Amino acid sequence: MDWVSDAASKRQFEGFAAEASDSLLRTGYLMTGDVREAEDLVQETFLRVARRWNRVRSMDHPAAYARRILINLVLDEAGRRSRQQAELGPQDAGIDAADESATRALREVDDFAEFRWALARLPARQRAVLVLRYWEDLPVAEVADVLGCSAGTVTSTASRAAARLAQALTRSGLPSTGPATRPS
Amino acid sequence: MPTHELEDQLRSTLARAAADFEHPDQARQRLLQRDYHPRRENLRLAAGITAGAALAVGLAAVITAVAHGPASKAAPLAAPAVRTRLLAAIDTASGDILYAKGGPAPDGGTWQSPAYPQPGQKVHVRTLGLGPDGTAFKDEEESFAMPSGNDSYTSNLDQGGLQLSGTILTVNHVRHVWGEWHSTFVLGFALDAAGIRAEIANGQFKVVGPAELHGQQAVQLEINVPPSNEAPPHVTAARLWVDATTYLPMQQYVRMSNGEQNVTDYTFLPPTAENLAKLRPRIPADYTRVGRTQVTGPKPKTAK
Repeated sequence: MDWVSDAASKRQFEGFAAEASDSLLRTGYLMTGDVREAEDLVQETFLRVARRWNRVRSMDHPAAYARRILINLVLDEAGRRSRQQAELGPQDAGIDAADESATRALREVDDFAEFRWALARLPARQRAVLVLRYWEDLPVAEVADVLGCSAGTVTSTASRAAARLAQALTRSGLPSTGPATRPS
Repeated sequence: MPTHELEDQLRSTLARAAADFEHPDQARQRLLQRDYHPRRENLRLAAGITAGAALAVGLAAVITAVAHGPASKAAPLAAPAVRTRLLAAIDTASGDILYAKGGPAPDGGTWQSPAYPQPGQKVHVRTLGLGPDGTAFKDEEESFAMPSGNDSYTSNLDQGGLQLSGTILTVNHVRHVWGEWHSTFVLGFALDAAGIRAEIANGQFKVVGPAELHGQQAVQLEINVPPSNEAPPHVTAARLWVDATTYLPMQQYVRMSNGEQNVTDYTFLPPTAENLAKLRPRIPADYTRVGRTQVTGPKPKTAK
């Protein structure tokens, strides 16, 4: 059996879940902008971890494995939506926000519903880079490992994501092209 | 790479946005209360297959409560989201009574309490069989403690069946007799909840899309039925409709390899005294209590 198959293993899994749940919930929240969806994602993550618990528990960092599952769930769902909608949002062409203006835009954020709205408008992989790199505080190499890309891609994506985020925060009346809806 | 200042600003802003999560303790508590232990690996759709509508009870039994809010009617959920909601419903299932009814007879069917039994819990299943003319030909109650672990299941997984030990009470309306005895028996459908829970957790279904059933908004699911090595008849297709708002199952359809098709409707009943009484067969006063061999016998010709 490759799941939580005995009492000791079950207790161990429960300890892991208790420890990892808060961080995973907040990561899911930042990735989706929705509390309920974050909870769904974490539950699905725990189910998948439980199914492989006998292997996962011997890993150095089971929480990292769980985080990778959660991110992949978001990316898979985003991929499905993009195939259905044939778009994730406006293209990057024309985005030329400098770091300085992006910093300023972020510094002026005082409405976090607005910020989450802007974050949710980013393509899922850009969102994932920002959340993993700056919320989870993972090194670039680890972010690259989670997302299955190069370190260079992570850094360039982070720049583009920050620029797009700043643009969304500083411009008003953007057409709604992504899955998120603007907060009232 | 963004400048250090921008990176710091991103860290700070994301941290504050993450801290905005409302009631994380409640979400965390809900998550930790759920059971992540898939009890069985293989699909056992069938147990009740030979019993027709009974199969569906197992499917329905797992979905008795709703942990989250209503599903969006405008945007049907993807399978992972549906799965998590179904599992949440299973994990928060309490003592509801599940009434499953197939066929045209108005009063027959199966009552099971609790709808999703946990290991060690006392379970009651009543089956009332009615002929086309509404005449009862079978009224039986099985009572047993829900076993734990996978060892309780028979090896014949595709045919379902849970090896149990418990009490059987049967009323034979043809012979006007009844009996009650302790026995081991294989119950095919009632405990399939555990199997279906594992099945849902393993993702072996897909969301067909929104549908309307009995004038209500529903979500149609298609269960992926693996090829069966068992002797026919076995299930070749299965669909489940759940209420788009509550996620409670509304109807189950199965098609068998011999062409037979079964449709079962579900109703979830609160465990009131009146409803709990429905779990007990009615024994007319003039019926005689006899031994097991005198109660069980071939079904009358009208009972098909």
